[in-house]
Amino acid sequence: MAHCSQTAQEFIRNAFAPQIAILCSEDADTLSLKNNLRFVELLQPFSSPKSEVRISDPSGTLVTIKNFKIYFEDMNRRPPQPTLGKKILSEAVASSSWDQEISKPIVSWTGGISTNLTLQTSTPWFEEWRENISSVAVISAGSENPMDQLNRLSQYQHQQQHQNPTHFPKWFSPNILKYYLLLHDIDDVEATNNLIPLYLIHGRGCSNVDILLRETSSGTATPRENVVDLPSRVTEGESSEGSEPIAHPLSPVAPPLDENNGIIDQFPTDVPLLVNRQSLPVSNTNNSSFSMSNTYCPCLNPSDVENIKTFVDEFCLQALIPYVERQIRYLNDVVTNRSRSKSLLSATRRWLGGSKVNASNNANSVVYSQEATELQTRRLGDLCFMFGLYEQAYNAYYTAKNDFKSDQAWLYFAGAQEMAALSSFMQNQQDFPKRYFEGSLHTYLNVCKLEKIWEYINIISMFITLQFVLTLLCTEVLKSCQEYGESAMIFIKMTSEESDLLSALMLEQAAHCFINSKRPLPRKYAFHMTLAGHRYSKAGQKAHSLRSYKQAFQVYFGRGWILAEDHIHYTMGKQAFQLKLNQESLEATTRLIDQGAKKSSSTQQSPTQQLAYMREFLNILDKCLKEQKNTKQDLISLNIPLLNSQNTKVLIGNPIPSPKENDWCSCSHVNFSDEDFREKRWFALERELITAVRGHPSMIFKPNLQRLTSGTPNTYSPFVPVKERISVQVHLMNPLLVSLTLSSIRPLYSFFDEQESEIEDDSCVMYDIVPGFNMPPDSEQVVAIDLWPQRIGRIHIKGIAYKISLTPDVILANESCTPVTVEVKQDIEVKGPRLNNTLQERSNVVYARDERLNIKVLPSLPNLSVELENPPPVLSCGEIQHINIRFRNSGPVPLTKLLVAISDPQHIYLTLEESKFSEHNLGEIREYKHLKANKNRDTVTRITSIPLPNGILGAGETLSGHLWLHAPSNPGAFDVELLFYYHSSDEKQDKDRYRLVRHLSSIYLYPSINVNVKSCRSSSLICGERHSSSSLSHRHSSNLVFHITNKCEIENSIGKVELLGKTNALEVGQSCQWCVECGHVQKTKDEVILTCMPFRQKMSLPGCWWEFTLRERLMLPDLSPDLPPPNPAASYDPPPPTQNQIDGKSLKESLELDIVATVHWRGRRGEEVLVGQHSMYLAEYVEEKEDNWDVGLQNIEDHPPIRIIKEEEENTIEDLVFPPLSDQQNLVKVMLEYPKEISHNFKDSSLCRVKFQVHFYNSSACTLMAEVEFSSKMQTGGGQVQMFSPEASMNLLSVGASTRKFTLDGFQSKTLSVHSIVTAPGTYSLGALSLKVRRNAESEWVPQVCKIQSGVVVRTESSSVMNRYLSSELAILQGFS
Amino acid sequence: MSRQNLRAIDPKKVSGELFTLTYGSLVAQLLKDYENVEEVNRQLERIGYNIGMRLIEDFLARANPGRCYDFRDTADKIQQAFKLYLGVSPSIGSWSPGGDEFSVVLDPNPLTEFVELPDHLQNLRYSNVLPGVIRGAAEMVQIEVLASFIADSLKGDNITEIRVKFVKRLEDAVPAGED
Amino acid sequence: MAVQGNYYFAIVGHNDNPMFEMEFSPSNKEPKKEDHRHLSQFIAHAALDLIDESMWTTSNMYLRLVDKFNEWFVSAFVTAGRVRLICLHDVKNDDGIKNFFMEMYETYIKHSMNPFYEPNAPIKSAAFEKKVSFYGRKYLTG
Repeated sequence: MAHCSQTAQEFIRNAFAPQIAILCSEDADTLSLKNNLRFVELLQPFSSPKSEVRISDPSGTLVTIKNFKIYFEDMNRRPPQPTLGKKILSEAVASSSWDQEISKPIVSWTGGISTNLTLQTSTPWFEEWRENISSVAVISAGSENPMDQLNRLSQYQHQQQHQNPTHFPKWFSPNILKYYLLLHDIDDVEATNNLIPLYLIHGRGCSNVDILLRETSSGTATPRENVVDLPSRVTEGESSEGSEPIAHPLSPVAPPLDENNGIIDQFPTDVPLLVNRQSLPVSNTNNSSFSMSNTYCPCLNPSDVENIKTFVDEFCLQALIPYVERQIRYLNDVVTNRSRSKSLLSATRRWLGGSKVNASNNANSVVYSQEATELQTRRLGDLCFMFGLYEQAYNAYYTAKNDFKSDQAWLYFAGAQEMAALSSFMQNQQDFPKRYFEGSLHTYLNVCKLEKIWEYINIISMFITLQFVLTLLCTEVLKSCQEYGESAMIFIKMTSEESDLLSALMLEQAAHCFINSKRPLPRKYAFHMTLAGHRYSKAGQKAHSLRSYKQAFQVYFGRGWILAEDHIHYTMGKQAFQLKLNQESLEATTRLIDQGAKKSSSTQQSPTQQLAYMREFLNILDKCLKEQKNTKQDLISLNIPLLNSQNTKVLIGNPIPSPKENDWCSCSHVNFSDEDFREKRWFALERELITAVRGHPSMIFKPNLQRLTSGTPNTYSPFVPVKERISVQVHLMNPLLVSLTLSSIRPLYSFFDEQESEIEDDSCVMYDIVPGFNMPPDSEQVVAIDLWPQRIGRIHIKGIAYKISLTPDVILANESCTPVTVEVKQDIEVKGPRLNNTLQERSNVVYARDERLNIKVLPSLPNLSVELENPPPVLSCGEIQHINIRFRNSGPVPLTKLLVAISDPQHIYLTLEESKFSEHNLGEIREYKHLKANKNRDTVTRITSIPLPNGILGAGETLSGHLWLHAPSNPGAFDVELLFYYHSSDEKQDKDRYRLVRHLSSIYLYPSINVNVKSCRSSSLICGERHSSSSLSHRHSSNLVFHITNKCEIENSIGKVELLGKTNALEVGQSCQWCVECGHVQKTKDEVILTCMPFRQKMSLPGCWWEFTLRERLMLPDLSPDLPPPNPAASYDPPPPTQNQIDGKSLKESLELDIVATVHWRGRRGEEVLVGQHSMYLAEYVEEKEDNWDVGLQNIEDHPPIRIIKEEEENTIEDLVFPPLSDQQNLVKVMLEYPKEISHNFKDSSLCRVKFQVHFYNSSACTLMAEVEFSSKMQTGGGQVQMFSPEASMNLLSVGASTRKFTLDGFQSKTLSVHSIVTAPGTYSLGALSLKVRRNAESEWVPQVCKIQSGVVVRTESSSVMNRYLSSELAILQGFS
Repeated sequence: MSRQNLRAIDPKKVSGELFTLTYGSLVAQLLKDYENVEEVNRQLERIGYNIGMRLIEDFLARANPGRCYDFRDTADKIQQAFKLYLGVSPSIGSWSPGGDEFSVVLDPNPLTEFVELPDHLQNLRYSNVLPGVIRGAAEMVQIEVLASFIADSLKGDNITEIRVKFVKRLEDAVPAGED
Repeated sequence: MAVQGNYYFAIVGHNDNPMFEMEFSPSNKEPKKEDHRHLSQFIAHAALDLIDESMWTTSNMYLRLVDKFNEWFVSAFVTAGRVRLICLHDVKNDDGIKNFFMEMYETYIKHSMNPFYEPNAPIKSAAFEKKVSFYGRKYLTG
């Protein structure tokens, strides 16, 4: 602490300097008042004799008293009333300035000032308990009759002393040293004559008389310079003497002491001097003391000062010391033979007991007579102590202490004990009995307690002060011997409920003890500082409270003891605010509500606290802002509510969504709420668009961002055409547990023109002000702010400004008053993703640039608005719908090149003109533009170019088209994603500056019908073509079996479904089935053959149904935002295929069945009639093709785990090339031609010739070697179907070689005719025919399936005469025709 | 009392703890460096992939488990490898009907001892190195698989489950380069 | 079985920062009033001085009573890593507190192994809190 500027010794010595009462006659005073000083004050500065003072102790040995001091005091002075004392104390504390130590670091913190405070507390007591050792009567020689004046004075003094001994001033002993002083002016002639009688009378009386010559010179006469240099000399005197507790008002001394003194001589004196002091404040500086020296003692010259000094000297040496020696000796005697007088004294005391003052049963209030030995002893002690004979003092006190103790005179005891301790300390014994201090402290405390009960205010306060003084003394002592801990303890003991102020002081001292102890205890320090601050504030000492809290906070700062810090900030805020230190209070409260650190801390504020804090903060901030109204400065930034910068989203050039007028609604543009996965799809579409426009895939594709988020690549500034909308969405979060109200939210931005020079002008950007909203506790909220840049340049959005207040309902507590609302700002800082690509980036923290809030403003561009005529919210699976679509260029610039990318072109397409379909469209389809159909189903592009009338769409022009939808066959969501591309017509704008419009509408699909198709080969040939075309071209056919179920759910039912061509309708849940045989013609490439099944009932079809049918067949590349990986195959051309491979390929192809089967249906939803179709692509023959969502999942039978290594590794290659043998059994189709019935006249010729024709057709492209064998044998399992029982008929004998070999080229057909002869009527069949083929001599035979029935009935013509001879002569004719 | 007799230190365990802590600090460091959970998931998978590519040779050499004829064999091998390298034997199960997909259920997951995911890291796939290892190892033996966590006890699921799906057999034995 | 009383538990890190705080009051009594909560912090923090002094005087981690303010006793436990566990209590419950500290020490060690936990940082973990309040009920408020 609180290093007292004096050492403990000095401190104590000064505290116990002998006190001399001065009694002045009026005229003497008036005389001295020429110097504007009362005589006492005149003397006070010179309180120590120049020459060394010696005193002889009882044993007679001379002891020199080091820097001996005496203390002059006006006899009539009364100590201040306790109340007054308190008042003065608080004044003193309040008045003491404290700013000097604020800045100092804690540990080196020495509060010179608090020393002062301490001293102040002590002063009243010193005054009270000094006992005047002697009195000096002063008379003015100027008075006509000094003698009787003198008498009057002495009488007055005498009565003062003896009539009421208990009252002030106290006298050390009944017979005190009386000393007379004659004060006379220099030009006072008869003064000298007066002396003689005076001397005669009083000469032997008590003491000598001092004559003060030339006491005062006439003020006018005094030369100025004297006056001036007086103080300086006095100063030297002071400093040489070390610190001086009692200083002359004149004396300019070190600030702490000076202040201290100022108060000291304020304390004793009553009102007049107080006034006096107020009239001229105690100053700390020399020059001001000069000014005082002018007001004071105008007529006092060096020699006079000398005189005063000599007077003091003489008084000490010649009068005081001898007297004291006498006293000591006397008392010593008394004490030494107390043993004898003891009994007597006790008797006396008993006798005195009756006449006890404030008689009561209180053990403490034992009162001794003046002569009681105990008091004598004590007195001896005091004397010795005062005059530095500490050893004797100790002994005396010790005995006294014991006596008092035995008498249970606790108060006295305590005193004695204390003094004993002190004196032993003054002898510099290290092991002085500390316990004494504790003891007496304890006693005092108890006394106080008891006294409290009786409410003797004076006495209490007296005792309290007693304690304090004792505390101060002993703590000083303790500190001086490094016992900081103890002294701190004592200080803490001293805190009490009575006086907040005193407790505060004590606590503060304790705190200082902690910080100053050998191992500093900063945290204890902080704690006690806080407590002190608390008490200060209770005592109304705001400044000190604030100071202490600040001191304490230095320790707590940034540790995370949130609640503690909050408490401190809160109080600091309040105090500072009341002290008009707005800035400070603002800082404090800002810290209070700052949630940055608090969120992460281990404890949280309670709602009530936060409410209070928030209110406090807003009030203070409001005040501050009001004050600096005049000075126009920008808003202070506040981080409540929390603004999550990274979540800031920006929409660019997006029109304000217009309400749908009549049936037309504008397409859904980009929205803040778009999901990011969709974003990817959009980018993919965009990439395809760009590729289409540029004609080549752009290696580096960076999408044209319309919606910027933390997820998008924002390294380059986006651009917006001038006067188009920028919409910024900020994400706010209320971290508090109280609800807030935000209002009039506006953007903060800065605008730069092309020359990158900032423009203050507000007219260059228009913006909306968001009216505002409430934020409930711990809630989140997004705010969208719209800006319209009005000129070309660059706009940088820096943050938002908003008005914040507590939500009214929260502060209903203090109703009526409208909530305080203050405007604050908050910045938005965005940063890109963390970079870790280069070593340099990896080795330190680098973030990508993020320019999403730094937007280029370009010259106007065309602005396409797309509108759809009530797009359907729901459809049924397979339904075909038509939507009118309308394009309008609402920008000032014409646009060229309008493209649209459609995510699902198989089900959506867009045309300008209505497309009709009629029979001759068959032809059209063959050369259909972007649907080149060839054997390997080619891929359809998603891009459709929309032709513009003569190439451009001028400003304001419109264009309308048709959007066709074919709902997919799986119910659920069906997303229509359209991305329109266009760019400005004028070429000078670079190509990258294209613009996009999005439309997304999600349609819900109800289940309708469910189609499943079974396709199966037929091995037979159809000769249908034969007569149609001269060339005998064979067709093989296959059968499609449709199985159709009406899956409509009842609730959202489309009711019954009419299938094209079916007369009867399908009710819900019903199903039907029918089979269609379709023939295959040998297709050339690049053509699609579209066959409409002839149906009885016509049905009006949407003109574009075939579009979708065809699209069903096409394959889509999957939609990916990034480039497809360059496939290595592209570069190298494969080696010429081997014969095997060619054959394999052609074999495979022969198995293909490249058919789209479409079923049209019609139903009704509510009123409207729906038309739909289900198309299904059949790549090859499949047992069953399920176009069925619900069967899809469950009926997958468990496969064994996937084979990773095939059993026979080697022939995998073969497998790759050729289809499995099982699939090769239908390569060659066979058909048999023969007469069903022959009537023959066996009479004429007994031989009947039957001719069969066998047609073979190679359905594959590869040349086959075939071997056919006729056998009369019926082998079962030969794939032969029995139409009749073999027994019933007899086999026809085929004549000649029954095995034939021939080759069939690709798609070649051959006819083989077989002649045979029968000799009798009957039913015959051409036995079994087995056919096997092989590609070449090496490959093995593959048996072909040929199901042929041949039944020939031969009947006789007329005669039934049987000629048995003929059977022998058989003519065989045979051969190929 | 001292740390020792608070937590009896089992010599066999130490390495395990050390490993767990090491992995933990690796993940933590990645988070510091990338500040992006998704990216960290990717990185972990990549690390795993590279580990797997190296590990597989060693595994085949040590365990010499014979060749995989079907995907079930592969599953068993993976199980073995976990036993060999992490000392835990996960259970293989819930085969897909197609027989091309199965689950590796880890109980316990040796990587996640002590780990508790803070709220802001709920999307972190803490053990994502494991699927990476599986993918990398499989790729070295010409099997392309997809492996990913479908359940993680760190996220409150009651099991930790890695789903492994057979994609295709890599016919051309082009050595897989490191990602 | 612990004596009914109020407790305040804090874990204090190396630069005197509270890493974790929790208050326990008997189930039957209502918890301390808001405006006193900061006092616990003040007392705990002030006690650190004495803890730091007395931790060198003993080899034990459990320091028993180290400080007192008004009705509050302060017991402390210093881990090997000089993490200080402080417990304010207005009733004597030496064994309970000792056991509590031991459990907390265990729990803390476990938690500090979590790779996502920055040493010395505030402990934000539901699991941890659950444990603490469990042991608090078990050993302190009962």
